[in-house]
Amino acid sequence: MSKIMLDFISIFSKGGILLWCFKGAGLLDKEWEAFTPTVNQLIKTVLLQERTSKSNYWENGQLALKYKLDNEFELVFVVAYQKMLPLLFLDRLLDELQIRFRDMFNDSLKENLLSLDFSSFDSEYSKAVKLVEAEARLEEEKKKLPKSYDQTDKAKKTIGSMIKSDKNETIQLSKKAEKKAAKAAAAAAGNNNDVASPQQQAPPSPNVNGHSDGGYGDDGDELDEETIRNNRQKLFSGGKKSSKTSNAKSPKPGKTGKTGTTWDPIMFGGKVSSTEAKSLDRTKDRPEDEVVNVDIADRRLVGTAAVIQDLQEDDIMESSDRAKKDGGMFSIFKGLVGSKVLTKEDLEPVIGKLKDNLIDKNVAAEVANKLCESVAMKLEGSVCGTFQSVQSTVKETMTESLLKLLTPKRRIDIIRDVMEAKANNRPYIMTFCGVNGVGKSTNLAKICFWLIENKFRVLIAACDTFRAGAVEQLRTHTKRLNSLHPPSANGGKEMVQLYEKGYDKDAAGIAMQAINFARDMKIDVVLVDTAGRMQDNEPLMRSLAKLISVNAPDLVLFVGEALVGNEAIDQLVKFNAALADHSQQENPHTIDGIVLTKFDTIDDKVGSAISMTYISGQPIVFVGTGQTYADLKSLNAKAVVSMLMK
Amino acid sequence: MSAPKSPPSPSQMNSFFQETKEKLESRDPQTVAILVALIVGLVTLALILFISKRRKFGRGILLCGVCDSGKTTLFSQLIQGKPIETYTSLQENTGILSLAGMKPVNLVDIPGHERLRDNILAKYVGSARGIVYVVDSSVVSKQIRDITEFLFNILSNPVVYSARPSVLIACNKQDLGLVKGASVIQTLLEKEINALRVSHSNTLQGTDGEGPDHVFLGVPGKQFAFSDLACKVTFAEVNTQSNEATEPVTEWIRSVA
Repeated sequence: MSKIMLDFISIFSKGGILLWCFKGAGLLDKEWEAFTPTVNQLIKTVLLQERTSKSNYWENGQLALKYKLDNEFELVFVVAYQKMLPLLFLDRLLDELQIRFRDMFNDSLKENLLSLDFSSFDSEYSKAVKLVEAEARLEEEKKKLPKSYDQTDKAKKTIGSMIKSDKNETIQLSKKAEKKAAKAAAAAAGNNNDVASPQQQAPPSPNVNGHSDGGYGDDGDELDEETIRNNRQKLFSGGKKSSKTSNAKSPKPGKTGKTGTTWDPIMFGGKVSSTEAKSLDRTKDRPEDEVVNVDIADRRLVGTAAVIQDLQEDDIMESSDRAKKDGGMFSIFKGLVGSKVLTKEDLEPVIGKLKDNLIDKNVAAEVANKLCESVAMKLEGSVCGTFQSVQSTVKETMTESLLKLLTPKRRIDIIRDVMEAKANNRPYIMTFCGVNGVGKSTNLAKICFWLIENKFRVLIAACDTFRAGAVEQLRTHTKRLNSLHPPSANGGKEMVQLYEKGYDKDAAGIAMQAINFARDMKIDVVLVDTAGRMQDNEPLMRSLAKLISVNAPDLVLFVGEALVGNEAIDQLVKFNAALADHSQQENPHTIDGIVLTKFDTIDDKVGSAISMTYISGQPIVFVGTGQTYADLKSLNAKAVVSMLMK
Repeated sequence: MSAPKSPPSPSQMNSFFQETKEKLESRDPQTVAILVALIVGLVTLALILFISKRRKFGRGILLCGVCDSGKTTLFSQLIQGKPIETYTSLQENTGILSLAGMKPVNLVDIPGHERLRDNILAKYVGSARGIVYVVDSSVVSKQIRDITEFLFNILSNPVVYSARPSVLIACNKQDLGLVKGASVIQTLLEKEINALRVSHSNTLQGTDGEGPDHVFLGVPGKQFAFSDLACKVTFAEVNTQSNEATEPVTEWIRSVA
């Protein structure tokens, strides 16, 4: 373990300037050149899409990257290694590097980064690596070391216990186990141990929290005397040994021998002795016990509740609000005193409340979780402004993140793309897919109207050959749209045409024929309407994937309704997966954009927009706000975010 | 409720002034204090107004462009005089650039990623004296639509449209083979903006009922040319890897500052 198999380590500022890097030995030039694009890819997919998670691990092809953000000085630490060689100490190494880098360049990091020379960090780096390696080696060796004599089973057995006598052996061992458990419990109280698993603590195994039972010799003698006394008692009392009562004495009952089951005597017959009756009695807090307390409470209320009072402002406010307000006040005062570094404890309550707020606004639970985690990672260790409370800082960061999510990551300009396709003498093909009843055909008609308003000719391909009335619906739309923009006003050409072949035919085939028809007729845009299908229905998903891979549309739009809650994630993920899996090509064409429909039915519960953009990473291209042709809008990110954060 | 007071008659005002004058001459501390406070207040108001007006045409130079065009490298070249290795920027880089023979300017490198650029640009666009739009000359024909879209958004931004800062389009990466020259890039951009201004005026309204503010660049009916714009647009061929090849940018900044 003398050499680390790290390929690459780099430290760079959030503004993109590389401060220090380390190249592993034995890399080809070609591999070295691939690192910059890989790190860029990491930045674009993880850091910019709010997908930073606690595991801070990302992989791309052969390489795996681990990253760490420093929010106080706005730095990013990245470590790259081959995916197949898992290195366990990388988190530790990243922490070490971060601490040393900050210590070394503490003051200068706050000023101009460009003028500094960071090559002096090389020595610190090698020191850090040696330290971390040594620690990792120690840990491994610890695991491999053979047990010392004290830790073995043999040391636990004293001479007294080696004397064979059946009953005594089990009783003695169980007593010893109880005593050990009691000791371990007492020690464990100060050791943050898992209280709920008694079984793990008691058995006489060597690795009980690394305690070696050196002082066992004394206990052994004590126990011996005690056990002898107890055994004598039992011999003379001759009653049934109820192991339950003896277990109740120790805080954590140890591994006792098999105890006889006490069957309910009423149901299964048999006699109930008085002791058994007591052990079977499950009533707690019997009313006879509490007569006195209730009496006192009642008397105090008499005379005060004659008049019903109005609800005060304070009553309406939730208790969590109250707690937060106190915290907010104090943090303001703290902030006035000096700049405050945010820790996990400061952030937790505020972020918890924010998460509840988001879920209230119909953001899917998983997405809200991940978003809050990402915001927490971004803020941990950063410095609060002097006059800002923790709550306002967190709110600001969350608003920023949400805005970033809703801002499209690529250019959306459909008209420009249609013009481009027209210039290349081919039609622009848009496909609509989604589950049943989300509004595909309605919104297809609206988009068609928008396109013909922009003087493009449109062909609607009726590839929904399953639902009754689907073709008739599109025919009605075509007639209506043509009456709005009659051929007489457009040089004798029909603006909208419908290509249909009836019901129960192959959708992919119809689409291909429609596209060829459009190409021959020099039509500008083809809108392909598909049947609604559930994301779990495999044969239907396969046929959709076939339609898309065979016809190579320019834009694949997923139509989702704004009313959907947690289902949105499932739908999008499964649709994307189906499109990727069932396509024969190397680069399968997955969902390019989202159409959010029925936006007028939700007032301010706009969370589904966030869920969908987060899960798919694609922008919301259209928003449907009603059933008439003019009810087509584009997403206003700022308005949606302000509604979410209210 | 008393009857409204009638405005003071001239004689009353005169006697008031007389009294104040006497008090001043006798150095009555109260009156002097009041007068000094008044003067300080007026001076502060005047200063605030003056400073706020000045900030409208601030001292900022913005470096904009799509991802991987070389903005952060240009930033380092201008501030430091040497190129460095860079990654995709997550945040803006700011620095003060003071060249010989001109007042210092605030240089701001705005990240090119689509999710970040509009929000960050909105923060600095108000104080922009000049905008450098960096273009990667080796991929300009493949990415012409994305490159032009951002340039178009900047030029039609209402703040930019009214403030009319100077614009330099820096055709970067001239050291690579098979790159387009500045004049070719100018023609490509003009053709693309010609098409864009039509498609942009037909975009949909936002969900809150307000449409984006549209300004029509150039002269309607006529083919778009950069000379039609109110702001001064210049082109330059630049290579941020070498110091001399970045000279055109420094010259331009000197002329603008």
